[in-house]
Amino acid sequence: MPCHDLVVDGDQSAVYVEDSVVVLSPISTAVLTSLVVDEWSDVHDVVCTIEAAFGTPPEESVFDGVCAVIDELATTGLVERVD
Amino acid sequence: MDRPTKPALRHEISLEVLGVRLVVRAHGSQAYVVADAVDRAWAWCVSGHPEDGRDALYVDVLVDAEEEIVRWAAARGWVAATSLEVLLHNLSPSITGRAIEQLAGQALMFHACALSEPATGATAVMVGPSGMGKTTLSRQLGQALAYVTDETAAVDADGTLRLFPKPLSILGSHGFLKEQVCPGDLGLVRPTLAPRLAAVVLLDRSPCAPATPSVAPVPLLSAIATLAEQISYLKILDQPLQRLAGLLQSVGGAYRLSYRDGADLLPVVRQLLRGEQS
Repeated sequence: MPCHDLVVDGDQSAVYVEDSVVVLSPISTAVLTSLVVDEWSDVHDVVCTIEAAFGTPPEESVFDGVCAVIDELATTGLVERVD
Repeated sequence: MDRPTKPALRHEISLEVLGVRLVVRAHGSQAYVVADAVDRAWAWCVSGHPEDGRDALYVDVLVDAEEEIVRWAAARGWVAATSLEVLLHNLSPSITGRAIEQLAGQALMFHACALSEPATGATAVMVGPSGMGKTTLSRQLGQALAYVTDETAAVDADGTLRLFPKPLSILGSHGFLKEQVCPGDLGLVRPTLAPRLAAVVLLDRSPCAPATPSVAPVPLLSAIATLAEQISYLKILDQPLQRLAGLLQSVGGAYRLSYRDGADLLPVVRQLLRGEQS
């Protein structure tokens, strides 16, 4: 992960990635901090972590939501995703 | 081209720049004139202990009317020009750049002006990009507060704030060139106490701002993201964001100062230095 540093404040975080600092939302922070550095994590494990932390939304899929967050984090270079 | 005859005369000025010992070596037939001008403009940075045993950085400078000589000197990495005004204009960023390079990986170096309460040393580091009016603010507030820098505020891991009372770059009579004016010549207050970081301020100057300046706390992560863009060599510090977060927390967080005219800011900055906003 090309992350130079990370600061968590409450449920949000600031991440220094490449040449800029990005402030992450609570759910993005939870997803990012649930990933194990330098090892592959299973998306379903991340989904369980997020569900435990935030609960299950009534009309949306947690899996889809987590995948969307992971995709977003992947575009900033913070995570790598393999299918 | 044939190598020109090396300019032989040399005068040296020893400076203390952000705590870094830096020697300006003036060469050539105008060496004395150049050294004298550097000595006057950089008077507040002239080292009182030039031979203190520390390794020094060297900046070689030359003024010569012959462009061939100037090109030869520039090819050697010297700061060289055909006129004294151009040389002084180019020397300031060169000196700053060399000192900043030297501190890379050690200090948090904010693109900021800094002014301190003369009686206590409590210092406000006021951060903003170029064009935000840091030099103007330094001139205005520096009539009552002590002038620490108008360019770079460097803070060590132990919280020590390094002095950098460089000449102020002021648009003068030489067209695009900025004159390098000694802070003393502008009536600025010289620090007598070691500066102590008391407030971190994000400058937000706008002609549309209300006439009365306002101060608002900035959430930690937002402050980190904004400040990161105004810190030199942040990436190569160890745990840079955590260090920045620790620094902000040590002074009660960062504040955004929205204002139209720096002339109105003295009472507001003094309040911040007394910690009355927290």
